[in-house]
Amino acid sequence: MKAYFKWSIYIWQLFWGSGYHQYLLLIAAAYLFLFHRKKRSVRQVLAYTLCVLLIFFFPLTAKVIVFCIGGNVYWRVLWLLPTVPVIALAATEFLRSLHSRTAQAALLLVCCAVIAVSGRDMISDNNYTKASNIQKVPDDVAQICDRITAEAEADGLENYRVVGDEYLASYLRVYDPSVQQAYGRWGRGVVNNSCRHVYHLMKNEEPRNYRRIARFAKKGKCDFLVISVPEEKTQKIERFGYVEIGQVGTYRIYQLESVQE
Amino acid sequence: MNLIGNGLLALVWLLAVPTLSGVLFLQKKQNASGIECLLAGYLFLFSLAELLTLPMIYFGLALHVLVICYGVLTGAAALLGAVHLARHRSANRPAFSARLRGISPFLIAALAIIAAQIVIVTLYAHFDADDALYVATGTTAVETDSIFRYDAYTGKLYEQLPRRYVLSPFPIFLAVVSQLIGGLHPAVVAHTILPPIFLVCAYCAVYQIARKWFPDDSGARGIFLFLTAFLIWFSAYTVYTAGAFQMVRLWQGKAVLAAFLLPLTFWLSSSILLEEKPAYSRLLLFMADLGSCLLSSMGIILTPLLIGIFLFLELLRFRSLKRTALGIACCLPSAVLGIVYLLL
Repeated sequence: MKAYFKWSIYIWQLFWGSGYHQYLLLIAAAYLFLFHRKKRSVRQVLAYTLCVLLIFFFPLTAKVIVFCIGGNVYWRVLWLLPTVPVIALAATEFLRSLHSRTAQAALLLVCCAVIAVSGRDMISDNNYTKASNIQKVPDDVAQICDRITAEAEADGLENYRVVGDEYLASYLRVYDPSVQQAYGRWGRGVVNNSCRHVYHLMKNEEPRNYRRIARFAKKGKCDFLVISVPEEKTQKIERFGYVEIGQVGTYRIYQLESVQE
Repeated sequence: MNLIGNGLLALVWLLAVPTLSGVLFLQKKQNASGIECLLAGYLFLFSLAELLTLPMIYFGLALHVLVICYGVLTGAAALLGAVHLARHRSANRPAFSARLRGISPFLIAALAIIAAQIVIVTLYAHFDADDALYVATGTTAVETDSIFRYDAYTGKLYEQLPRRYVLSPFPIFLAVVSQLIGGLHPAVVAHTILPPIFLVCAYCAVYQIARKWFPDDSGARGIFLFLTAFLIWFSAYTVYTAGAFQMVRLWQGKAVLAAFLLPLTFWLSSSILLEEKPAYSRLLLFMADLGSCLLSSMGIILTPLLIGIFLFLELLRFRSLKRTALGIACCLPSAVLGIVYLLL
């Protein structure tokens, strides 16, 4: 039971990270309890918040929930905590107690400053980028996919298997589901043992064993191999029958020779 | 079909149809607002999608069968809602101009922030590797005209259904929507169409909470909505917060659950379970529970947990076992699916 309590504490800290909104929640709840507890809605939301916290930290409930959803996503229970509504409610109750609209606006700006300082905004966290394709997948993935499908179409291939690294495996079929992959993200759905070897070899950063990657890719019936490979090591891949058909960024796109013919 | 045509169809299937079909579930309430209809409509759409998709997965039916069934049923519900609206239009509803005069400057500021957020989630991209399953399942369903028959990661036939995801087939809902709005690529629907729509829905749910807490003070509602939008914008301190999910990946079921359905269920629970004479039917709460099962396997446990807390508060307040039993009945979908989930 102690382990579950410790786990809850760890997840709590993980959830809030570098933010301070949990302290704002505490201050807001205390303010609401001290000055507005006569309002039924305030009592209800505070009681609800307390219940969520009890469920989250109480070892027995934590154990049951972890059994149901798994420990690594236990942080999602904190989605039930009404952090944003409670903070907004307390600030609104405070601001509406002021009669001047100018004072309200001025203090609203102060509230915004406190929220901004205690949190982190979405843009500075590099959450957004521009994509040149309407599917909004990384542009290099889209270009690689277009190159492969064009080549496959020219060769009259209907079913073909592509193998790439974890990054490519995550987006290729989002962009174009006609492409078949040797494995998906985290190596999931791997189609055969040779491809499993390729996945593990691909996971290694430099120095990669390009010769083994190409050998297992061919054995795993991968028609296309997409990999970042230095110029001087390309022959290690080409000796297994893979021919370079294009480059996108640091990636080289190879097609199995027998397929090409 | 060009993008404008797709956009118009998206407005029909993602705004008009839910709003009109939502009318059918708000007959208990006099003068239900458009926002309430939209929210009730989405509960209906999600519930219907779950009810249709699960048996179709079991029987291995094609995606186009699901698209037709879903399209016909939701279209019929919207039509019925429109007829009901035309017949029962209230004469004592305040005029639009009068309602406009009641808008506070804080509400306008809140709407400005929300509009900026809508522009950002629509025009910009956020690359999320979780799409490898969530969006690729939708693209795979469209490509193969099947439902959970092919592995989204590889394109190979599934040897065994993915037990964690099959009971919450939100990616199939994505595929259905993409087909209804003119066959637009599911990735485009996911990354460009759904986020602004669900962002609006999420703030509509927040606005309903504001209306409940500040029924006679439009200024306070404006401040509350403004602060909520601001807090959500500044919740990127970790990737785990509901705000972060709301702002960067509001096309994945779990994000829709965190940003939209949980706040909506919070409002519904407090409006239905903690009111002596609730203005809304318990059916909405039942649909919230069922709909959250569509969104994510997390919904199967988090939504009944949320409703359960309110049931506990209801029991304390009213001390009525009958009321509590009715509330427990609202959690039946997640109870059944939860057992299936553990048995699979």
